[in-house]
Amino acid sequence: MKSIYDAIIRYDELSSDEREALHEQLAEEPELARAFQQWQTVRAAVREQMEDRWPDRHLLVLYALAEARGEEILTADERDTLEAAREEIEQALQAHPALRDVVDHIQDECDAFEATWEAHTEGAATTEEPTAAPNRTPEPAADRAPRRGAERTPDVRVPWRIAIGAVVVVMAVLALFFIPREPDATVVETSAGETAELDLSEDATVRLAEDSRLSYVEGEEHRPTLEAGGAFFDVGPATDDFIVETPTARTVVLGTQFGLEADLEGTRVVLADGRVSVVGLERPDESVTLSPGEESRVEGGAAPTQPEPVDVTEALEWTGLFVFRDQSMQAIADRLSGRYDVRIEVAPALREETITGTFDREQPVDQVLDVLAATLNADVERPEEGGYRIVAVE
Amino acid sequence: MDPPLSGAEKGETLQTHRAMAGADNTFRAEQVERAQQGDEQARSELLTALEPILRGYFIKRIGQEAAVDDLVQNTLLRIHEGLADLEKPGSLKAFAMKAAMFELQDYYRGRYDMKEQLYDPELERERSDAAGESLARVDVDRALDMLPDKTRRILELREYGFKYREIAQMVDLTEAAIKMRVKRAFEKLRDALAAICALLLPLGL
Repeated sequence: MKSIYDAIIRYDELSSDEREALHEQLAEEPELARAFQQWQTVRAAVREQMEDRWPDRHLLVLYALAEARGEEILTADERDTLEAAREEIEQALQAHPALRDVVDHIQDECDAFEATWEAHTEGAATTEEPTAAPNRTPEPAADRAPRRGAERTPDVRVPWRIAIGAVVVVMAVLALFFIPREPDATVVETSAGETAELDLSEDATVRLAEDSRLSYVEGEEHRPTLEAGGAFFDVGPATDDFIVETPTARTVVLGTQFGLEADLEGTRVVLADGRVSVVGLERPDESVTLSPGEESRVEGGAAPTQPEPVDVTEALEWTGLFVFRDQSMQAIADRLSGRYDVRIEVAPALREETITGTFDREQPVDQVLDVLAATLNADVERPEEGGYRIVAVE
Repeated sequence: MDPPLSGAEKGETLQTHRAMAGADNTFRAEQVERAQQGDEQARSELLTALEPILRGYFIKRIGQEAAVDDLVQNTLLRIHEGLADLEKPGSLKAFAMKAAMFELQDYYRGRYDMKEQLYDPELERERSDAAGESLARVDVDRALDMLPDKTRRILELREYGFKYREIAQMVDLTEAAIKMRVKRAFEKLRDALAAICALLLPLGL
């Protein structure tokens, strides 16, 4: 679900393959291609203006150092050079707020340099090694704490975590990219046909759909950013302060399961369980709270739409999961029947029983049915003519 | 004058000199003075001791990139070439810091090579039409004036050479919000420039 706009604004960072893919897309959209070329021209013009009108970069370094640490830090020649250019620099700072950002950034870089220097010269061995973010690989699904299983609504909760953990099939992950893109930041990216699943913490798991991109800073795993695509989050109730950002929205999570689909134009939030608060990034004072079985959308610059009921199972199909919420056993059987292309009968006494639960679509159907049957205190029969039958235990 | 150590030699010698830097304070003023006066061993030890500091610093700033090697070597070269001009031998840290800052600024400038991106043969055809000719005369200042101040700041910082994540920290927005602003700027400029070109073409300008 990657947006072409995402590639356009990240053009400088694209690999040659990604650029080629973008050019192929642009070749099919001549107007957009023209707009892109105009954009590149404007960018070049901005750079040219900056080269003409902004002070020399090395002068900015001298200015930043003198401002933060006093002119004693400069040599005599440097002081003379800076003094000759001071008026020009200060006029430019007035005219271009971004220039002030640059000066502040240089000062931050100097602080960081001093910290690195002090750490090395004091012989602190732990700080001498580079601190690039280590690569992380996802735990195989079979080893992971099992997903929340099925429960008979409203109250009965069967300890399915262990059972499901034992039977969850390893995801069909074809390729994953864990890229320490920036210091202490990790990016997880999937291509077409790929999915990924990883544990952000002991109590928070995310499942990334195909063509998606999620990033987080080491140490801030409870503040991931879904930059594009779709992700299904499973966050335990003991987890606080879990906030997911997309290009348009911020979703505050309070122990829940929910799906997010996002691109640069908008975000869709579908809540399966628990509670979330959704707010548009551009209008942080207007939030909505979703209840299970509801969705909200945030278009760029707008407030989130009012919550509306949604078929959670259908809305979250793209996650590769079956997400059932208060679904009747008959409805579940119909969906499973369609998915696995197999006949599934449900005894009349069990048809209206409701179940809430989440299953991996890659799980074998008999494993899913075994879990559901145990939830209902039922059995799964396998008739000679084929298919399955869910019957109440006598 | 021996150049700074090559990559193949670094591992073993760095371990020795890290111990020296921690225990013997390689950066004492008298050590720097000896290096300034032509003591080649003192100079070599100085540069070798600086290498891991610079490397650790640049990796923290820009991540594990191939550019770190160039930044380290260029900074050491600056220090090596400028050591004689260091007025206060006890100010090596400030001297090294300035050299590192200069190199970082040059690195940011070179990050996005617009020349490559403008003359893509696939897109060059688009520039040759009348709309492309008219665009060349469009006032970029006026186009940028249409944008909110913060968005203009973001675009300028991007063209200065910063990544979106770095810009996010500088202007106190999330990276996602930064990208949304850039995308909206693209759309706004696209619409405005299309309107301008539509006006200019009938006028034969």
